Amino acid sequence: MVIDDEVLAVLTAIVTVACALGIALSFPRNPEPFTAIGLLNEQGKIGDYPRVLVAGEPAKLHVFLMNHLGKAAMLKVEAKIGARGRIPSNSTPLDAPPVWERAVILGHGQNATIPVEIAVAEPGVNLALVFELWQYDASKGEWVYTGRWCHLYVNVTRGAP
Amino acid sequence: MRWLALLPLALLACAAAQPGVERVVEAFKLVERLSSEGVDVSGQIAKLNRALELYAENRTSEADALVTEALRQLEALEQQLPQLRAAKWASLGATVATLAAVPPFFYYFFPRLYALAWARARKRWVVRKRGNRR
Repeated sequence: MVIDDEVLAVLTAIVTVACALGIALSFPRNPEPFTAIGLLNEQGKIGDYPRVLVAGEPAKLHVFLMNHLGKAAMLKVEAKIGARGRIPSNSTPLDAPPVWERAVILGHGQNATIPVEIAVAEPGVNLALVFELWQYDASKGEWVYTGRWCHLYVNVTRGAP
Repeated sequence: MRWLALLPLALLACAAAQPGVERVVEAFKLVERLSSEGVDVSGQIAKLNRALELYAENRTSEADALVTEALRQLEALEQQLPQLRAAKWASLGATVATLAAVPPFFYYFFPRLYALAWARARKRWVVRKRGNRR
């Protein structure tokens, strides 16, 4: 096979485009930042969530967190007890005191699955186990609600006396 | 009366609040700054997370020791930050320069190297006249 001028030009063009792509990918890019929270069952999987709880007995769940902010983040999960129609929005957290919380530091691209045990003291129907994601804002020196949460509706029955 | 009803909830919240977070926050500020500069702080993050677990188990002295150790390492990394930043930019510059140099080098050397390889692959070839007539 002979390398004539036309073949050489095509090969050089391919190499040039590959190198230009390589240069473009070499520069650090700001990824679209996001954090995520998810609720998993006792085995740490999606589905088969408990729907009926006994008052005073802990519900075993897992909370999944992910950091994709482009830098390390200190995240906190707050568990609260809500009800149907009384859950957080993406701008305001639930106006209730946390019954459980856990902070964790995650590097960019890291995730964590945290076991949770929550006991609801009083029986009730259509109660919501709410898990809110908060992020520590180092510039403000305070925890800021990320607008992300997940919840699980449960009925809580009275335990045997 | 309404405040009295909220009192048990408030007490529950205080009991559930995770202790030790305040101490970790100081180290986290350095972690956030260094990680945003691209410094690998995964070892320090693991230490701080372990410290948070220990604080939750009320093993305060062990957790304090871990936080102190992580802080010491983070402060050392922070002092090296100008050199790390310079090394990062130098590495990026070298990568870009190398990639930019590839096309002209390819254009100049590839036909020559190809011709050399072509000739070497055929160096034992014998040239004969076809027909062998005189």
